[in-house]
Amino acid sequence: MRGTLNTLLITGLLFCLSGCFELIEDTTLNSDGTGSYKMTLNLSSSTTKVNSLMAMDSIKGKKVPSRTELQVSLRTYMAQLDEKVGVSNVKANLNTENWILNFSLDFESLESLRKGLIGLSEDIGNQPANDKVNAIILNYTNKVYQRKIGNLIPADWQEKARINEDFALLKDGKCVFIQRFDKEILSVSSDDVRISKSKKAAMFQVSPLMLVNHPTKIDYLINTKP
Amino acid sequence: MNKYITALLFLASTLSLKSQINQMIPDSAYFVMEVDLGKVVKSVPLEEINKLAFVQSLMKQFDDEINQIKDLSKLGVDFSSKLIAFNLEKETYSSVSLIIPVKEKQNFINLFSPEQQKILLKTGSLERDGLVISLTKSTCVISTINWKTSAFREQTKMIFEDNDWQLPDNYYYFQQYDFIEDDIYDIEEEAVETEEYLETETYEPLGDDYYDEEVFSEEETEQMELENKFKRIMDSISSVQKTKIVSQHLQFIKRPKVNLYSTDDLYKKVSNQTADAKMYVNPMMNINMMDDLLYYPIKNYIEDELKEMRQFAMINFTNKGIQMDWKIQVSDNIGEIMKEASSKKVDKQLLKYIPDYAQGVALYNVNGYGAYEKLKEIYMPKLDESENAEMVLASAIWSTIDEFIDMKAVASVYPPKVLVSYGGFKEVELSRVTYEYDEETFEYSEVDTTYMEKIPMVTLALSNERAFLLEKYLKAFHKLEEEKVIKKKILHCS
Repeated sequence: MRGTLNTLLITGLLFCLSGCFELIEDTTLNSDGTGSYKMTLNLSSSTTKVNSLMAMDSIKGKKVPSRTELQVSLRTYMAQLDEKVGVSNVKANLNTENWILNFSLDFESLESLRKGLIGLSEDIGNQPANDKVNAIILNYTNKVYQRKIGNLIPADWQEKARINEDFALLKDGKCVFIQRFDKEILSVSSDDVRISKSKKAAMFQVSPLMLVNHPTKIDYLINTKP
Repeated sequence: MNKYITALLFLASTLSLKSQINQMIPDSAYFVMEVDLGKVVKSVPLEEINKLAFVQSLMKQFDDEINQIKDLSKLGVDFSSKLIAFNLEKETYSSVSLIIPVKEKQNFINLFSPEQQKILLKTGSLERDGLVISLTKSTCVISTINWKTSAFREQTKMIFEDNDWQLPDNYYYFQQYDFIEDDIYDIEEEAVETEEYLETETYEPLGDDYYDEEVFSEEETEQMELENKFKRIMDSISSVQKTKIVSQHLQFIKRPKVNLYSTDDLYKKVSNQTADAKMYVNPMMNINMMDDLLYYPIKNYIEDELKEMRQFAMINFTNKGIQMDWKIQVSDNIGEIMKEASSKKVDKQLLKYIPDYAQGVALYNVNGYGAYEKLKEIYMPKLDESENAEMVLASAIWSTIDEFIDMKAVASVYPPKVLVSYGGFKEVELSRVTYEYDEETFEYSEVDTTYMEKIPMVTLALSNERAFLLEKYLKAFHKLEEEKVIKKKILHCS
């Protein structure tokens, strides 16, 4: 229960501090489907706000976890993730001075990564993932990378972004999604996704507000050379 | 400035009242705030208030798909009247209530959800999850009740004890709570969760006959029965009491004969005076405060002294800011102690820590020794003359401590003189991390940059005759709350 609360609080914090967060998801894929996954959540621009919240005993009756508790929870979650099939070398670091979370792992296939992350969310939430979560697509077969996760963004967030000033601040944050391949990229299904000069990496940069208003923008295909 | 303050009042409460509205406040209220919307709207017309961005933002909260409210006057509230908020703090609950004067009932009722509208139109009142609303043609009373489940648990325990029934071992935890401050419970909870998780991971799927095979020991079965009995009785107690209390809240709107306006002359006098807003406090009615005094040896005397204690404030919003006239009514004895406690000596050392951009300064300067001596002079003889042996013993112990400890020396270091200055929001440079992306590979690297952020500037300066003690305590606080207190450097300690 406490773990769930911590997660909820972190999610809540994200949107309280929405004006100033940066999320980077970096996936490296090898030809055989194996790869590595890195995620960085940077709240350093909101350090004063996060510290103010952390100084509180509770928010709306829920205890605010201490820095130590956050570190303990993170270690627990990472240990759980490391036990998932097809996932290995899980590492995480939470810098509570600047509030930057770095997390990385290796995977045998994108399907293993998908199952591993869903399994972790089930462990944390202590209940089975819902249909929306299970419908996530992360796939790399026949040299085609496919992602479909936009459905996860609740439809009512659009309305909240419209009327809630905190949500409106989402436009100032930044979400970056990078996919790297050992073969050159032939094409990308979205005009919003840029290809690097080396042609071996694709990057989609978007504000959280744009994602909330257009969740399907996060869903795209990348074709690579055989 | 005036406009913002005015509009803030709308946000904080939502609106004002005519004289009879005062009579909807029970005499057990410990805090009352009145806002004279009629007076406020006279100085800043509603049309002006409507234009404020945050008022428009507030109005959005009442929007639905069909109606868009952009004008406060469309809320159906009587802006020529007063709005009152009051608090109750009782053994089994605390509540905050708002009395809203209604001008156009239909407009006002539209602010509620369709489901609530139906109930209000049919019965004039509704209650759900501690929210109690009662509505008449001209008034709406909205109360939020927070139940103190621990009180119901203690009442249940007393029934068990009165009947010599055995209590379940874990009766203390029979209340719904999400948060216990003591860290020890967190650790236990964490441990339990971990165990549950491990069990989930390790066990094979359970067959249909699993529960048939589950066997409880005799002791476990007995505890389960006791728990069920305790829960059943506690449910009954809380259910009956909650119904009674909700009913009392629903009755506020009917102006009970025994109300604050009719029983407290001072409140009546304060309420009839003219001001943009008024506050009234009767600390005796706050049961939490009286509980804090439970273990003081002079509790009985203090209770008598506090009977007359009231605080009230007249607040007026002017072009220059807020004008507040705060008055305290106390008994003669407490008045004498307060007189001795007041000190006009200002520690000039503190004044140099007022930044040149300070917008306001507050000084806390108490003559602790003078107050202590006066307290001793008044109450020691009372204890000595008491027929109660405990009181006489308290006097003996007090005199002994008084002989052992140099109170003058204690008062010279505690409480320290305190200066607080507020300098408004100031833009300061802060550091942050950003990322730079290489266009060739989209590899990224951390870059240390700075950004400007407006943060409130508050300066707190403490002073006493033994500054090294302050430093030692600050050092201890830093160690105890390492995660919350950040030591930069000791600026001054002399």
